Formats: sequence, structure tokens, C-alpha cells
Amino acid sequence: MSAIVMQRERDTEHRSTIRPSHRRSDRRAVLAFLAPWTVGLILLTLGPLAFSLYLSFTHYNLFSAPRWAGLSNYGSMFRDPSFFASARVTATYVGISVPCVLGGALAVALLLNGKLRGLAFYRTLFYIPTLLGSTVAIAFVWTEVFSSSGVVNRVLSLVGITGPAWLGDPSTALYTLITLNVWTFGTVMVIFLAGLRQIPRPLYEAAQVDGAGRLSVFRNITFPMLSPVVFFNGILTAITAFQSFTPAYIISSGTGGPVQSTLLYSLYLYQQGFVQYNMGYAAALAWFMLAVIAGLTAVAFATARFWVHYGDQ
Amino acid sequence: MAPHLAHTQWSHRRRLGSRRLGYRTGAIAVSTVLGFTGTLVPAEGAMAAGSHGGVPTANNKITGQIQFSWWGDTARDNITYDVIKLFEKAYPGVTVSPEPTANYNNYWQQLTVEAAAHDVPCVVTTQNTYLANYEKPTILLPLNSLVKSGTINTSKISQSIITGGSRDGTIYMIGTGAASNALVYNSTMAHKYGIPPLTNNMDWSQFRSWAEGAAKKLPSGVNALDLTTEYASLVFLYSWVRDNNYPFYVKSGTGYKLGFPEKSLANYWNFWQSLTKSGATNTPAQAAEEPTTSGDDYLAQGKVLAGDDTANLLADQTTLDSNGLGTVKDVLPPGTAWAKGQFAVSHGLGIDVSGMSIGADCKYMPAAAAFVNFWTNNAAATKVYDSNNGAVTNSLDLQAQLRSPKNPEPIRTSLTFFSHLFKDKTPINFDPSGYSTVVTDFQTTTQAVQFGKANIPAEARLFFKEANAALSGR
Repeated sequence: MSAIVMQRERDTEHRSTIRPSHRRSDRRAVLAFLAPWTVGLILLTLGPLAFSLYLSFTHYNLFSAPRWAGLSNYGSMFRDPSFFASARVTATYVGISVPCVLGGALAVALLLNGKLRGLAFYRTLFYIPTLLGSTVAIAFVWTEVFSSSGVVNRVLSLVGITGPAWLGDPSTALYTLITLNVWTFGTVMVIFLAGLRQIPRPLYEAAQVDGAGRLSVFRNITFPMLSPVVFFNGILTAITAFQSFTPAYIISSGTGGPVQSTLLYSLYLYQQGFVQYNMGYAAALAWFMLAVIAGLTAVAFATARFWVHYGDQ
Repeated sequence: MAPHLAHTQWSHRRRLGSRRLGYRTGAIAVSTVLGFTGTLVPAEGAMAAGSHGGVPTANNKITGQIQFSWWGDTARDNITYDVIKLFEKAYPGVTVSPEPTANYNNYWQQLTVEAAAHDVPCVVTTQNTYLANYEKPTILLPLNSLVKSGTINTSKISQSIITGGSRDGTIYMIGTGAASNALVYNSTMAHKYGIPPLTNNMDWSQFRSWAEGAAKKLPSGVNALDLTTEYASLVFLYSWVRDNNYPFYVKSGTGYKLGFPEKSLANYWNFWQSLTKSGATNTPAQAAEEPTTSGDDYLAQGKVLAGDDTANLLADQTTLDSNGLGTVKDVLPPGTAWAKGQFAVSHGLGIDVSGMSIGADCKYMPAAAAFVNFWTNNAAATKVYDSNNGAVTNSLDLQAQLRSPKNPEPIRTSLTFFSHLFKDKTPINFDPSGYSTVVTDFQTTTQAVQFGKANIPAEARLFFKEANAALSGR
């Protein structure tokens, strides 16, 4: 009989000797320790979640009791031009900013992964925008920087270019928001950097011996080895981008203007809930967004096996 | 136009987003009619301005802790704290927890959430424009019995102000300050460039001539009109609609709908488009990125000659003063007829009233009622608060302010105007529920037109469809 089996038998014997009252007491202790978290989960997460789902099937203006409306809120979305406008704006925002964040962060991480003097300084420097980027203050600063008479246009004027009203023109306002988002790639960069450090050196040494070029090394070693990190960052960045709210709110003064050009989905959701008091519709919008994000995440996971390489595979 | 649908452009403009509106109904309110009250007869006979009103005698018996919420800038916060101190001194058993909110729009959003949670503060600052959303006994306490018993003394307040805070005979708000809209312009700049001063009783064609003439005389970088304030706000649309003899809203089933035809809105947009094309306004892009902070707008920066930004009048003037850029004056909006020799407001001019309400779930109703009564009737309190949020509605306090040497002549002129409005019982009423959607939709559709992103008749149709759906109350 192996030692493991003998140990198991001893444990079983020990358990059988524990008095039932002790067992009950242990169970109570476990439940007591779990209770705060469980109560919090039910009251602060699951409860509101369930209530929000219920509200999405009602007409609720916050002043009167919700009235059951079935699927009408979900149906209304597809007849609402502003819904499509916000979906379009959000798709553009996510579609451009996520690849830019990932690409930019990876490029900087590759640079910082080398033997660079003052590496810690540069890492901090690139991370600072992340700490500031989503704050209200920076959104205000951004408004000044990109105004007609702001810093950007003043610099452009030095080389004879008359810059547009970046935030006042519907054709450029969203791209200014995207730039603000891309600027805050610090967290993604730090994760990439950690991932790069985990790639075994012998792989690079072997490639060097084989005479592989930089691009080949990146394509055949760095990216495949880093693909789980790229996948992770991609999912998180996309979800964050879908939920982006503060910069658009500040820069457009909550309107999503000019001409709905910065009407991100979450801003539109907020407008419906708290400006126009269509809380039922806002809840439906929220659940629709959840479904879209879940769907896209599922697609990402389904396709991951084709390009994400885990070490044990 | 049905009298009960009289509207308040002042507040509509303010509601137009935190862009500029937000939080400064302030002392500005009293100066909104500067310049067009000069022909008014002298104020009604002087009355005693000493201690008056119905402050309960048994103050010590009233106890409790009440919350008081309001919107406004720091200056208003400070004088509100002073009034609270006076009240707590007069009612030692009552503690007032102040709940200020700087931004006007945020204030209503917060109040809405509180209403939904049955957690409305004991005393809330309200306004006729938004009152329709909250006029339910489950949200705000009906004040009829408190008024009838004299617990809240309204004997010095015009009946029209009380009616303006009521719905179907139920009083939800005691109006404490009244304001109006106006067309504001930089009179110093006009004089400097040989532009004739704006006058009252202009029609739209005279207004166009004035703006286009001004544009030719102004230097590069300065525009005659600011698109943001005039074009994208409901202020002038109200005047436009009324000038065309339409009501802005009409009853429809259990709710309301827009009372004017789509064509009227299309014509309004076309009017402004032609002004923009003629160079009388700034560009839509410039308007879209106009600074939102008080005293930073284009009027304050000396980049436009005229705007309707009366809500920020004092802040604008402060900035203008600091840069030596001139003095602003205000006149009636175009298309607003002023019935000469009468003090009733003619069509086109809206009166907006801010006031106080009591939360339905207030545990210390006597204390809350005492606070409202104190605020409304105590001479010392009114002296401190002045006419910070519209011309004070208590006729005795108004007369005292009219006599006060600390108020400059333009302010006294403005107060005189309001004293006549109150005396004439000018009707002041609610905006229908759904108003916030009307404002948002108007801004969105107007911008689409401004930027040439939409066909005007189609955009007017879209605005009507969305606004009417919101107003229908369904």
C-alpha cells in the first residue's frame, strides 16, 4: 500500500472521529466568513444585474413604477437613428483604437525590452498617461490642446499649416478621442513587457545561430510566444474601449456632438437613462452591449486556437 | 398661445447642456432685462422693508435635521451658507445639511435619482421648467395646507408665481426668484465700430439687417452673432414660434405635442443658415468648441458682438472688464413684442421661476416648512441672498432691493421690471414632462443642419417625431 493511500485512510479515520457538533461548528464558521462576500455579491452585483435585466423589459422613467413592455425596448433600438449613430461611432472607436493601442504598446515594449540605459525612467514615462488619461482633468486639458487656438494648431501654424477645429469638426472629433485613448497604452505596454521577459533566451540564441533576421525572429519566436499576452490584452482593451465614457462626456459636454460624432454607446446609454429618463431603454441598451461584447469575446476565443500558442501545446 | 403654456427661454437656454447653462442663474437673472425697462413707470409705492413675514413664534419647538439642495456657483454657495446660519440661529433646534451642486444639469440628474430612490432632500431648489417631472405627491409634498395655515406665508408673493409652482391647484413649489431671457450684446464694441445699438421690439428682418451690417464693420476674428447661443438654443426658437402666432406646446391626449408646424422650424433653420452664409455668425465648428466655463465664452472673450447668453452675463462681464473689452447690455430677443404702456409680458418673452419645494419623505416637515418660510419671508435672509437666483418674488423684499443703494441703477431698473410683472400677475407655468428630450433633440438636429449633414425638412421631421414622442407622456 502506498504512502498516499495510507495517508488517505488515516484522514478518513480522523474525520470519522470528529464529533458532529464540531463539524457543524466548522461549517458555521465557513459560512460566517463567506457571508460578507456573499451578501455583497447578491446585493451589489447580482441583485442590480437582475433588476437591470428586468428593467430592460419595462418602460421606466424613474418617477413612476416600471411598466412591463416586453421586448419593445429591444425592438425600439432598431428603429432609433441615434442607436445606430452611437453603434457606428463606437465601432469606429474600438476598431481603430484597439489595434493602435496594441500595436503601439507592443512596439514600445519591444524597444524597452532591450538593454537600454534609464529603462525604469522610460517605463515610468510611458506609463504616466495611463494614470492620467481617463481622468476628467486630462479630458479638459485635451479640449484645450486640440481647440482651434490650442497647442496642436499653434505648432502646425509654425510650419504654415492651418489646423482644423479638431473637436469642433464632426469629421475629426472622434479621431481626437481615439488619439487620447491610444495615448494611454501604458498598462498594456507593461503587460507586454512582462510577457517579453518570459520568453526563454535560448530560443533567441538558437535563432541567432541559425542566422534568423529580426523580422523572422519576431514572426517565428516573439509573436507566437507572446500570443497569449496579445490575446489577453486584446480582449481587455476591446472591452475597455467599448465601455469608454469619460473623455467623450467631457469633450462633448455630454452631448456626443458635434453632430453625434463622439456619441459613444455608453454616452448614449447614459443620456437615455439620466437625461431623457428612459431607464428601461437604457437598461436594454446595456444588455445589448453586454451581448455584443460577450459575442465578440466568444468569437475571439473560438479563433484563438488558430493563432494563440500556449507553452503546453 | 394658451397662457398656461407660456415658456421660459431663460431656463431653456440653461438646460441646453452643461455647455454654458449649468449653474448660474444667479444675480444675473435680475439683469436679464436691462435696457428695455427704461420706459416703465416708477416702482410701486415704497413699503416697509423691515422684519416681516410669518416666522413662527415657537421656533424652539421646531427641531430636526433637514437637507437643503441647490445648484449654483461658489458665490451662491457662500451666501446660501450665510442664510442657513441665520436660519439655524433663529431655529436653534434645527440643523441644515447643505447639499450644493455646481452644475445645473447635474443637479437635475441627481434629483431624479433621489426621486427614484424616495430620497429627495427635505428642502429642494426647483424650477418651473423641470417641475413637471417631480409634481407627484410621492416625490414632492403638496404645500397647500402649509400655505393655507400660514406656516408658509405667501401673502407677499404674486399669485401668478404661486400658480406657476402649482399643477391642477396643488402647490409643489414656492417661487422665490424670477428671471427672463434677453439678447445680450457688447455695447462698447458696437459703439467702437460704429454699429447701432440693439433695440427692443426688433423684428427678425431688422435683426438680420443689424447682424449683417455689424458683420461688415467688425474686425477680422470677431463675429456679429454666436451660433451656439442663438441658433442651437430654444431661446430664439420660442420667440420665432410665438412671433408666427403658434403656441410652442399644445395638449395632446394625456401629454403634449409641439404646437407649431415643421415648416416653421425649417424656416427658422433657413433663416440662420442664411445668416451664417452671409458671414454674420461664427462657423459651426467654432460654435461647437466654444468654451463651456462661465465667463470664457466668445462674448466674454470679445470674439462675438452678441449672444443670448444671459445666464452667464455677470461672469462674462467680469471677463470683459478684466480685459477691458467693454460692457454688455441686453434687450428683448427679436420677434418679441413688448406691449408698450402695459407690464404684462407679450408673446415671445418667457418668465422662469426658481423656488423651493419640500421632499415628500422628509421626516422633519415642520422644520422644512419653517426653512422655506424663513427663506421666503425673512428680510435679513433676503438681504443676504439678494436676488441671486432671479428677482426676489417677495414684494416687500423686492421693494427694499429697489431702494438699496448697493444695487446699481441697471439692476434696480431690472428689478422694477419684475415688480411690474409680479403686480400684473403675469402667468408662469410648467414645461411639460419630456422637455429635456426636446432640448437634446433640438441641439442634435440643429447641429446636423448647421454642419450641412442633414436635409432641413427631413431633420425638422425627425425633431418633431422624437420631441412629440417624448412629450406625449407615454
